[in-house]
Amino acid sequence: MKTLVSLAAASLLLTACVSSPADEPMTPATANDVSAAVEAAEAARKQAASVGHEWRDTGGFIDEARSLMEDGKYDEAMALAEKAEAQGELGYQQWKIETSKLQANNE
Amino acid sequence: MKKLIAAAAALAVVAGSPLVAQASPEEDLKDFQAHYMKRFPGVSVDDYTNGVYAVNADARSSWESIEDFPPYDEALIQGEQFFNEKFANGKTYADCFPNGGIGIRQNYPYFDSESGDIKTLEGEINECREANGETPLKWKVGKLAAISAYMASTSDGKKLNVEVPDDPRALEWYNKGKEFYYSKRGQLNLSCANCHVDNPGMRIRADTLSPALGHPSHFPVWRMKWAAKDNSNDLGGLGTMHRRFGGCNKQVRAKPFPAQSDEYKALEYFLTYMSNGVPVSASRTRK
Repeated sequence: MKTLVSLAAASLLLTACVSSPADEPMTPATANDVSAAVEAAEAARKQAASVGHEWRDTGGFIDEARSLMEDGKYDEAMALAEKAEAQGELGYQQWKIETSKLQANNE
Repeated sequence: MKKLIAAAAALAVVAGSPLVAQASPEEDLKDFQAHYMKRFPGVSVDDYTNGVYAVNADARSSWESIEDFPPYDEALIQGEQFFNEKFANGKTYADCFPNGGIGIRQNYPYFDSESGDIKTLEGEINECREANGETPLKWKVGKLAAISAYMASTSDGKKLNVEVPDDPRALEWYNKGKEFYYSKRGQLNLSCANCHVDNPGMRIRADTLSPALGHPSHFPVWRMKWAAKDNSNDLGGLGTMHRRFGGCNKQVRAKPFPAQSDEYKALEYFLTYMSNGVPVSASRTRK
């Protein structure tokens, strides 16, 4: 139960953090930073998808981040890529929690 | 946004699903239906074919008025015409199904011991087309949904009767569907069961959550939401169960699976088995 509450709290915190102007990067992001962040986000998305727990908007965030990167809007792209990466990680973590619950029920 | 997440969190916390441990399908069925009998005393098993209108009197009143002039009538007429159309080789859908495809909806989906696969009605409609040299139809909507809706309408009143035979492969499909149903997914961290087992009859913003018992009995369904989205023809409001599964997954912000994927076939198998005994009432109107 504590793990579930933590997951929900992490999700809420993530939403709040990503949309908060106070959390914008201290130094402007570069094309290389964004490219690496997008790559990391895509890897996290694929990991969640591999266990059937990809979240609805993750792929869209990555596409949008790529598009912003092409337009030279690196800070905005960076924020979206990081959000997508966190979603991918949380989706995968969600699968692990659900799987362990199931195993516990079956024991 | 914050309100939506708060509502989801509240739903997720109030979890008391009746099926938690590994049990046989028969035991699950008994516990599942008993849960609803206890939650809504006085609502008969038969009435669960009416979905949310079985447990919400106000909504039922307006729904019954809509049903006086059913918006899906034309779609069913067209579905019957499509069903009777001859393929290029002169055969029809009736040649592919037992009893000519009439009055068989209540037996779907079923486990096919030869292939080890789950067969859905929509899946077999497209298999029939391909076996007769026709191209498969688009899943979820349009002509396929209309044919399925017509076929289902010929089963109106017949009680769902899905079997899980004594075959480990069938049990595997069943358990896969059961696991899917009780697994939280998406950004809102909600399972199907959180809404439709733990909280039926409760409000989620402006809507009342429908009970899971009986859900598969009224598909394909005519939804006013879908009809408003596509009013280009008389079939716009129709959709299959897998279309609805995808919509539900999107609502909890999970990426939906494709129609007729193993995930959704397993889900349909489990969910329909849980509704055994509920009469079919295909193509009714829903919000």
